[in-house]
Amino acid sequence: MSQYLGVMGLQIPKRLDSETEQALIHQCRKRNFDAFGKVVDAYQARVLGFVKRMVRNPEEALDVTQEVFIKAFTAFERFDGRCSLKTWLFRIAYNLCVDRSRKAERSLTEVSIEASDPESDPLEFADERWSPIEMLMTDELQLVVEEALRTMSPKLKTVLLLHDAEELAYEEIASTVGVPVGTVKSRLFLARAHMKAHIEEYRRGEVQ
Amino acid sequence: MKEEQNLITKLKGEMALSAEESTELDALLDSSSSIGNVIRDLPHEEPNLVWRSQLNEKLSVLAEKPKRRIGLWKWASGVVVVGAASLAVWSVVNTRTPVIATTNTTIADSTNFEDQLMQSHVESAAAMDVSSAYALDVVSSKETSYTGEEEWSTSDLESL
Repeated sequence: MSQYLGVMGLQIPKRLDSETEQALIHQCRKRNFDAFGKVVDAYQARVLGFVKRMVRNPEEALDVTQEVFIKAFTAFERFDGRCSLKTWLFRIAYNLCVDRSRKAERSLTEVSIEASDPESDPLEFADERWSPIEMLMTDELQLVVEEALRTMSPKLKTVLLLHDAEELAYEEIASTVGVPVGTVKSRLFLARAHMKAHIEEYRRGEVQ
Repeated sequence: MKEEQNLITKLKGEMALSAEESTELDALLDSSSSIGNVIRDLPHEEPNLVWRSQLNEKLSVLAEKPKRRIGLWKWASGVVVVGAASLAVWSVVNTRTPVIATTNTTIADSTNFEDQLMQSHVESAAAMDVSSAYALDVVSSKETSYTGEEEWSTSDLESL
């Protein structure tokens, strides 16, 4: 049994194809340490990215991410395969983040999207405001996006990250968060509007 | 414009949408997909090797632990509980406890309480009359007692 799977794992492709994933799942159910190491290799960065944006504190995010994989390892026998492995891992991550927030007595109240600036962010429905040309990621824009995520309600942020960053389906997000699909769509739109408001503000400041 | 504001209000309140509003929301989500691309392009940070080494240590400890036979324990504990319950029920059913009850059932059944009471007294007195203790007592009293009501006559004295 290898104790250095982290080093070994660097050579493993980050995206598991369906066949490989099914084989790994089969082995992980038998508590195969090496197979689970490959699962960790495939998903550790994505899970850490999600957790880091949910709990804010980087050290805490690392701890929570470890906890995600430990929980997954011990509970793998109960993974029934009705959802994808990725969805299952992010469900564990989401639940742990919510638990941490509750324990830390953090406020989970909504941050209204109107809080940015209602005058400059009228939430119009004109399509040109989503222009892809203006959405090229730069280091500076990345900071703006991260700042927008920090000021976003956890409810909106969860849906935005799971849908847009992790590409989970509406139904998968709905079952993970425990809300109807329609609510997921509503939250996704509001989250994008919140994000758009921050980016627009950044763009105006850059022009000036 | 008013309809759009109504939709936004509904979205913020997470209220149920009509079919038309749902269609409109789907269209809005499609048109805002470029924001999704921005989120998708966010970089992912790989945890360092120290973090991974710590995780491996924790996982290896867990992997070496024998699997708990949860199913067996559940089954065994179930049998114990059922057995204890059966024993308790059996002991309740089969244990004879002393019965506390009144004994005057005859009197209670009678329609004339006084007659029954009198009969009971007569029977009790008769029982005392025929008992040996009472008879001996009577005989004894006849032999020892002298009331002086019977006097000796002169002829009786002369015959002596």
